[in-house]
Formats: sequence, C-alpha cells, structure tokens
Amino acid sequence: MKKTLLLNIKRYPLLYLMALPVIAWYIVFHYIPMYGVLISFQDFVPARGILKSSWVGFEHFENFITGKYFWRLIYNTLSINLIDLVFGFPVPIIFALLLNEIKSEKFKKVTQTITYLPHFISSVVICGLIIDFVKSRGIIPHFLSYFGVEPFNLLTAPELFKIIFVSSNIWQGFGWGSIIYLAALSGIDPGLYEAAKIDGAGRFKSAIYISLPSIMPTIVILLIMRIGRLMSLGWENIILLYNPNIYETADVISTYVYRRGLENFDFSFASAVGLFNSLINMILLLLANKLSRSLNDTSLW
Amino acid sequence: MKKIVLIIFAILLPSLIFASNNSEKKQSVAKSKDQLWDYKLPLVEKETTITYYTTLSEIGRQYMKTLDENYMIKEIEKQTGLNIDFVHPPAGDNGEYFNIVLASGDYPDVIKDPFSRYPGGPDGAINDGVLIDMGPYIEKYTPTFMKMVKEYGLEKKIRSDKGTIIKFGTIFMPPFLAGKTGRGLIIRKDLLEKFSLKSPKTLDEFTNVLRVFKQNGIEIPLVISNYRDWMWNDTNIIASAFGTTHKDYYVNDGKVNYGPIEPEYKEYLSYLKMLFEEGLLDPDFMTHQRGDSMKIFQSGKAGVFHAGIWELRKILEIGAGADPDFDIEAVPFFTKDGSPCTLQNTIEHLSGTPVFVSSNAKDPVLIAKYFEYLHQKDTMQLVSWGPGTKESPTYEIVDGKLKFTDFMQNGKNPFKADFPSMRVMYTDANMTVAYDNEMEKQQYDDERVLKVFDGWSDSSGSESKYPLFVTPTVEESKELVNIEADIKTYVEEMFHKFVMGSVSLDDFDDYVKSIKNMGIDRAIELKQAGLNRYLAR
Repeated sequence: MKKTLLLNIKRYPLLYLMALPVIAWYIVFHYIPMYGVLISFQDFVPARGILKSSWVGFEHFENFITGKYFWRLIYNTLSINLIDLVFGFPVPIIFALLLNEIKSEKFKKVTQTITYLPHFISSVVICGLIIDFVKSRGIIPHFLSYFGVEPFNLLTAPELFKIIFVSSNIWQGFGWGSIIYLAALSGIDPGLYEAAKIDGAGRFKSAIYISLPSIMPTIVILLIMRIGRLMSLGWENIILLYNPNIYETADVISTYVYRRGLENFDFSFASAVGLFNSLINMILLLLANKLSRSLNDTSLW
Repeated sequence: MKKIVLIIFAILLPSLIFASNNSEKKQSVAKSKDQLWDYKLPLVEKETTITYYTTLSEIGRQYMKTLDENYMIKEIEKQTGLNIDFVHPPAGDNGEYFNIVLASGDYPDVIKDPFSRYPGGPDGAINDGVLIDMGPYIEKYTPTFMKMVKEYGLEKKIRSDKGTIIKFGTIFMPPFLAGKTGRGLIIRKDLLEKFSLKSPKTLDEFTNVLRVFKQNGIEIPLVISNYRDWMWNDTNIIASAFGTTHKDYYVNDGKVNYGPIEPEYKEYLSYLKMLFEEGLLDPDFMTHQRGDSMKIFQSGKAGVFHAGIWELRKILEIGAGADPDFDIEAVPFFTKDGSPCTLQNTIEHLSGTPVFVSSNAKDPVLIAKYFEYLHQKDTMQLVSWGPGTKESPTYEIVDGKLKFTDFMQNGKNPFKADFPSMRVMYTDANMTVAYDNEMEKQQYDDERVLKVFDGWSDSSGSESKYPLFVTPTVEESKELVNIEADIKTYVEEMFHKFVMGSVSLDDFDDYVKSIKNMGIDRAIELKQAGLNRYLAR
C-alpha cells in the first residue's frame, strides 16, 4: 500500500501537487479545529484557553437533553430537513431531465443562466426580499387577498414557516443543483437513445428508461451526502427569517446553538449541542450508506 | 605627570557619569510619585497606534467606514501623536460580534463596552485575564477623572462591589440633562389638531386617540419595533403604564421582581393584544428593526412612535418633507391607576458606556494619559464642538458663547448633510467624557424638542428600575446565565403568542408556573443579593 502510493506520486507528481491545497485545506480547517470539541466538556473561558478551563464532564449534554426545548429542536431539525429533502431533492433532477430535452441551445443556455442566478445572491439579500414579500402589506399577501385571504404577515404563522423556508430554498438552489445532473446526462452514449428510438420508444419513455437509470449512481451519491448534512442544512437562512412567534416550528438545533453560544456567551454549552448534532449526523450518514449499498450497490465507500 | 592626571581622570570618568545618571533617575521617580505627571502634548514622541473597540451609529455608517474618518478624531490624533485604530461591530449586530472578538483572544487595546454580559462582569473579565485593572493607572495618570467623581459625589457608583473602577471613561452629565427622561412615545401633534383631539393624558384617552386615528385612515396608529429593540427594554414604554417591565427585573419597596411573571404583565399583554387585534399596532412589528419603524413614522403613515430625544430633530426634518404640517409632542407617561410612573430610564449623572483596557494593551499608562487628555477643558470643547478650524468651521463665538455655525446646522457644507449627520462626522460621542451644558442645550435647541423632553421628564422617574450600578459576582452571573437562557427564549416566544392570540391569556397561570419551574425564583434571589450589596456600599 505504502509502496504503491509512493510509486504513484513518483509517476504523477503534478496530480498530487494539484491535490495538495485541497488536502491542506481539509487538514487546516476541518481536522485541526476538531480539538476544539474539548470545550464541550468544560466550563470554557476564552481568556484561559482549553488548557486552563475547568472540566465539567457531560454536564452540558445532560442539561441540553433534559432541557425544555430538546424534543422540539430535534423534531424541527429533522422535519424541516426531511421536507426539504423530499420536495427539494427531486426538483433539480426533474429540471435537468427537462432541460436535456430542449433542442434550442440558445433557449437552454438562457434558462440555465437565469436559474443559476439566485444561487449567487447572498442569503442576507434573499431573506430580506422574502421578509418584504410576505409582510402584511407585501406582494404575496396582497396577491392572496384576491382569493379572499385577509392579508397578514405570513412569517408570523408557525404553520407556514416550513413552506416558506423550503420553497425559498428550492427556488434559490434548483438551478445550481441541476448542473451536476446535466453533466451526468451529457455523458450518456447517444447510441442508447438511437437504439430506443428504433425500438419505438418516445421521448418520455427514453427519458424514463435511459436518462434516469444512467444518472442513478450520481443521484444516489448525492442523496447519501445530502442525508449526511441533514441536521445542519440552511440554518443561516432560518436565523435570517425566523422570529420569536414561530420558534415553535422554526427553531432548530443550529439556531439554538447560535443563540446560546454567541448571544449568551455560553460557548461550552453551545459546542456540546453542536457535537451532539454532528453525532446524529454521522449516524444518519452511516445508515444511509448502508441502506444504499444493500439496495443497489452504490455507496460512498 | 600629565599622563598620570589623564589616567586618574579616565578611571574616575565612568563613575562620574554613573553618579550623575543615578541622581537623574532618582529625581524622575520622585516626580511621578509625589506629583502629577508632566502633562504635555503630544503624549508620545513617536506615532503610536492604539486599537479602540466601539459601536458606530446608524447615521455614522452612512458617511464613514470607521471613526478614523471623523474630522475631530483626526484633530485628536494630530494633537496627541496617537493613531487610533477603530474596530466596529457590523450593522444590526446584537452583541454577537463582541463575543466573537472576546473568543478570538485578539482583544483591541481599549474596549468601550459595559462587560455586563461577560460572566462575572468586569471583575470576571479581569479575573480571566481579558482586562487589566486600570485602578492604579487611573489614580496616577488620570487625576482629573478622580477629581470629577469627587465633585459630582459619585464614588459609590463608579466601583464594583470589589472596588474595581468600572465606570471609567463614561460621561458626566451636565445639569441640563441629569435626571431627565430622554426616551418615550411621541405623537403627531398636527393629527391631534386635525381630528380635534385632546393630547392623551390617560391610558383610555390614549387608546381612544389610536382608534380615532385608525378610523380616519392613519394606516398604523402605533408603530413600534421588534421585541428585542432596546427601546422597549429601557423605557418599558407601555408596560410601565401597568406598573411592570417589558422583560426585565424591577424593584418594589426594596424587593426585586421579575416583570413578565407579575399579574400586571397579564394586563399589559391583553392591552397589546387588543391593540393588535383592532389593527392599532403595527402588524409587522415583530420583524421590524428600529430604522424600519422610524421610516414609517417619518413617512406620515403612523401616529405614535417611540423615540429618543436625540432623534427628534432628524424625525421632524424628514417628516416635514412628507407632510409640511408634520409636528410632534410627547405622550406623557401615564399609568392605569394614576400613580406616578417610576419605571423609566432617567439620565444618570454618570451615564453611557464605560471603557476598559484589555490585557493586550502594551502601554496602559499611555491609555490612562490619553484619558487625562480627554478630561481637559480644551479637549472637551474640541469633542463637543468640533475642530472649529478654517477647513472645519464647526463653531463660532457669539457674545462670548460658543455656537454651531451654518456649516454644521443648516447644510452649508460640502456633504449637504443635516445637523445630526454633521455631528457624527465632526464631533463624537465616543470620546465624550463630560457633556458640555451649552452644547447640549443647543443640540436640542428647538422648542418642539424641548417640550417633548419636558413632557417625558415631568411625568416619570426611575425609582423602580433595577439600578445599573449593581455588580453580580462571578458565580452569581454564571448561575444567572444558565437559568435565564431558556427563560428568555420562553418569555419572548410566549409574549408574541399571547399578543397575537395563538395562545389564550387564560393560560397565563400555566406560563407563570413554567417560568417558576425553570428557576426564576433563584434568579430573583441572586438579583436581590446583588442589590442588597449595592445598597450597603
């Protein structure tokens, strides 16, 4: 193993050189900071540092799990992300399949560019727009008032938050998300389509029986990775959108960590909750990977 | 012979030099011990940089990236030889940035913040090695501060229970301001006249005015901003009418109470709920920042707004653009049962945010000297009135009194900026250690503004407010943070639910029970202990 790696490096030095910055990035920003999780077992005081702060064991974990908001946070985190997954995940795939069927190159390019655009706008701006749109005098309640809905600030209704959040997420991300599927689609052997055509398959049938199965491995890998991030997705947008009246449905683990840690100066408690979050994340990832391997032989490792 | 003399001389020479050196050293030590240091400008020979953490106002942001661009600061830098490097939290920050700065370990030299959110307060921060105890330096190098504290009789208020000076660099208030109430509700006077209404003097009259406004097409009779807005907390604008606080502790007959669990709080909530349901209260208040609400009021769409005295001139100026008749008056602080309102935030003799010096500061002596410089009469004038030079003609002397020029007051400047904006660019509140009575008077020199000031001040006091000068111990504040974290979230959430009607007010007792289960009684006990120590000082 070691020998082959060295040999490999000798043979392709440039490739390894190119990979170097990425590896360094992972080490510096993802592995070295890991020792910081130690503070979740401490009463951490920044000025004293990790070495001199006092140890408290699992106290913060206990406080969190027995705390008032534990189950609500878990439920909200899982439900918001599951809804996002169920409705948000297929959209880029469908969009990519549709785009693939378009013959006019020009129209295709324009559509693609337009749908990418929201991805490049900062979340702060996007959320600012949403807040303005759903205000009691905003454009959406105004539009709804034609259907007999009394205008009110949509962000004050706990039951609407998830819909607003997920649909804005989809709107912002589907164009960008479709790129990888379009790349996979362009790699399909055109011969397959020709053969299907000869066999009498229409465009719909060939999309279902050729395009979709061909990009299935890509879909599965992305799905597994998405599940691995299930507990931490998009919380910046939640912070920008929510308000106390809808904490009930909008408060998730990450936003709770933010409030406790940064607003209350309670770093240890916050990182304990964060660590707990990551643990659940990892379990979900392992489960998803295992499931996918047993179902269709595609997996991360 | 000559040689021998030379040799003897050569032997003696070093010891001679040594001796003279010694006597000089002794002299300078004696000087700094026995008398004030030699105050002279510039403070340093070589340009020295100090970093300075402070907030930048909303108006300031429109004209400057940091206070480095302030023309008065440039003058200060020229006089002292210092280069002051400012660090500001970003716009809309709720204190997170300050916590990040502290967590990073890269503290600015001077930090203008009360350190009230730090576990254990300033004493805790000194204990942890974030700050240094400036006491000895202040006594030695900032004698004018100590002198002023004595003159104003504030010795009890500038120190924590442990004796640390925690109010260094705050502002001594002139007679014109001290004891007055600078924040409250303002109402459109012209609208009152238009609909032939009397100025509201009681809660019922106030409600009636809002209703009439609504009937006559005023879109939002009462515009206020979100729950966390400091104006709510500091002024208890409507809560005080019911004798409770919006979200804070208060003192009744020497006993500490927590506002949100008192029976009066239920009345407060049901009043707000009524306003909300009748459309008298801004339906979007929960998502509105202060600036949003102010814009609505200035555009003439609203009837009542909560404001600070320093904002009124700007509000009047912009409001007149939307409606030439635009005029305001104070809504006095009434209470439901007619008793005096004692829950307001009156201006203390010593007010504002103190400064602390971090352990990163290389030269605390220099910083103490810098504050001595700020406490000089000339500097105070510079800070309050601006440079007053040819390039920055901020003031003139009329009949022996200083007066702001048209350059400051009436937009005759290259920026075409109004007075509040010019003040931000040419004077500065951060470097103010004592307000200039004359300047403060002129700042509010508008009959309408002065009337509002009187209207608020005459009807309110701060006797029941929990004193600002109480200092919890490290253990107390740690325990408080733990207890309060979840309570704060819960109260904030339930406040909105009660007001917007998603939870019925019949459940108020359950709500109080939940808060008690979360340990509020212990928190009140801790607050009481701090208060008792303060009163015994």
